Amino acid sequence: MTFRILLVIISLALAAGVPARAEKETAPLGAWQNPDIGLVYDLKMDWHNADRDADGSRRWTTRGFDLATAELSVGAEADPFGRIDFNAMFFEEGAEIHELFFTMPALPLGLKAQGGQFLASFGRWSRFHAHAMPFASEPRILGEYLGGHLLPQGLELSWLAPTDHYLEVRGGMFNGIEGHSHDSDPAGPGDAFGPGNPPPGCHYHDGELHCPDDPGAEEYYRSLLDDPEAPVAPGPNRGLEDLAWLGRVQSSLEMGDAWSVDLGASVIHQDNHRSSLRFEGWDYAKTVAGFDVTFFWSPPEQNLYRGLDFGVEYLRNREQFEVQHEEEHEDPAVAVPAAEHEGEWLRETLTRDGFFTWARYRASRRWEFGSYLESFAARTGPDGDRTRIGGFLTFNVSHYQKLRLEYAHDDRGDFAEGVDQVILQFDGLIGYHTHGRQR
Amino acid sequence: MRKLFGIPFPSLAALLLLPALSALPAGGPALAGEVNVVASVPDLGDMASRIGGDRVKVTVLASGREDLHGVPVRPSFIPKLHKADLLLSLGLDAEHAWLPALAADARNNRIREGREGWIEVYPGIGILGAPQVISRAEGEQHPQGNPHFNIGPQCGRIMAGNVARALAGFDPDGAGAYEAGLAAYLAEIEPAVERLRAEGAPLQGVKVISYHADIPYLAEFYGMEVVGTLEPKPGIEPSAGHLAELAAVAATRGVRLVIHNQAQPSKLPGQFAERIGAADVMIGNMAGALEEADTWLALQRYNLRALLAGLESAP
Repeated sequence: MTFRILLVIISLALAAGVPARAEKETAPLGAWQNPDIGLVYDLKMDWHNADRDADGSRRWTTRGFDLATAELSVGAEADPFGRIDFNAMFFEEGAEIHELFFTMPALPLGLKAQGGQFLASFGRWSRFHAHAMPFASEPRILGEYLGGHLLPQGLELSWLAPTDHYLEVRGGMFNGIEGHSHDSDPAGPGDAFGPGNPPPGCHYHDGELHCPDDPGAEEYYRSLLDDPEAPVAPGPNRGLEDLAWLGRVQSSLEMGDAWSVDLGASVIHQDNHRSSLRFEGWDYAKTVAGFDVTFFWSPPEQNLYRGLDFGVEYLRNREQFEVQHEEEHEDPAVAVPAAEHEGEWLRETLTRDGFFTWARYRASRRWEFGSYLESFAARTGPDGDRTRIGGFLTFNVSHYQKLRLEYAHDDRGDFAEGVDQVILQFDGLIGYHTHGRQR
Repeated sequence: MRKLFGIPFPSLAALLLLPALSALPAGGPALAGEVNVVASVPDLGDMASRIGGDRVKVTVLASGREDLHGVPVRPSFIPKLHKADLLLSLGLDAEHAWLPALAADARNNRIREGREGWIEVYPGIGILGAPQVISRAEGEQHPQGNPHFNIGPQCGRIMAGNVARALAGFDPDGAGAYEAGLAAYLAEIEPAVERLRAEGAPLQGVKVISYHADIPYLAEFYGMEVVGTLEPKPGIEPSAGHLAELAAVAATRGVRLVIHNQAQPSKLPGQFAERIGAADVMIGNMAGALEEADTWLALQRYNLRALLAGLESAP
């Protein structure tokens, strides 16, 4: 009996030791191959007054809480030469591959390469994940000129100049100028001119928009509502010239211990951004160029508790459209410069520009606040210039959770009435999640 | 445009060239015969200069006045890291919020985190504060232990030894010179550290509160007892409720010093010290934190002076 008890005790002692030893020997074997995993979610609730009641009076509405995105990130070193990162985006309507790319961070000659689908190095805010920006709403100018954050598939190569001064030059080739956004824009054409908010002088009847006093406006608004690019489609990549080509130069200057400024200039061009569905061989080019300047004030003492950054991003968009004109042309299939063309459909080049400027002050480790202002020429023409001004207040519960309140007023000039929007945002993070050297 | 499998030749060539390029050596070395050392913090820059002498060129990233965990990431650090042969860091995740991302972006495979040129100087130090439970519910933890050993005078000898080993490992021809440099440096700091211990005798048994959990090595050296921290958990801002509880504990335990460093808010520790009838003391968290603490040894001397002055003025 005593022997049996002793045997049990010894067995238990051995068994107790086994997991510990097994853990040491086997857990790392599997664990060290596991990638870094993180989950970020972005919960939003917004109220806006873009909609109207039946009597035409404005009405504040909300969609309630909206799980804008949940981002699952997985990444690890793949081999001695590079790493692979994967970000899947989950949202109420489904899921998608947000980013999936390799990075070879240290090639010879100061080169670094990225390939796959990722946020391209264009401008300042386009490169940021939405949850990493200091404001809840995305700059509308990005949506207008790039379709959101520039998220194409392709390859990017960057070169670090072999100098004591920081200078980086990037070049990229991508399938196209493809934007991405999960933000709602209540003042955008699609939301603003729906049945709940018809354009001035117009109304809805049996689901159809009617502007009895201005048939031209009716045609125009319908084209915005149905599909602003109705007669065209994304251009197929038939050759190298059909790819989108990106270039960016960025540098930085320091002014004493506390002040520094980041400077950048970017351009992306695609010859065949859109192709006509009506006329064989009619391709439409798009070029977006811009510069960005960001100032940082970060006093070395108490740098975790105080700070300021402010800057401006200017963008210029040159894009060709297929536009319907009232007068018919005898041979609309002929591609001729717009100015010489009198036909029903023609190719028109529209150059627009605008800016987004912001300031953010960190008052403590927990509290920060700031404001932004943007103004840009919208697709709607000179009368449709959009000017948006907003302010935000952020409470960082900790490094991993934050709560934000934001207000914005969107002024659309004579084109339509302005829209006010209030956003409440809650972001949280578990696991490992980083966007590298991003500031 | 000629294509293969539908891919234009230039694109295909670029794709094929990348793996080939990645196999070639990357990163830019220093001048011949000179080891290019980048130090994350001035403490390590000071030691590398003293030990390496003319054989090394030392560049320091942090000025020393910043919070150790949140040195502002400046693009100007990138060219410095690009040329580095060795990157000296404290380790134990002290610099995790800013250094790995910089090193990864420097186009220098040698000094990326975990590579042969990424040097952490903590091995050999008696690590304090390794958490029993690793969870973010416990705040911003350092799973391997508390990384603020650079303000513990007892740790300088080991840090310097690790710096010397790293230099000799990269530059074996200079091993003799580094050994001599280390011996000379130790001959200076070891007696000085013993003097600090003797001069700091009045601190033995003194109960203290710190802003962040960053003084265990300092407290161990002088025999101080850390009763609590103003932060309820590492990296979590103090709350009124926590401060009230801490004040009650401080009253019963007889806390005499409230210690913070130059990179932390000074108002709250001052108010809390007044509330509990203790002295408010500001120390430096790195070499370079203050004008009179420009080297690792000067930092230790400054901190002791500040602690003794606080003790003298404590009610």
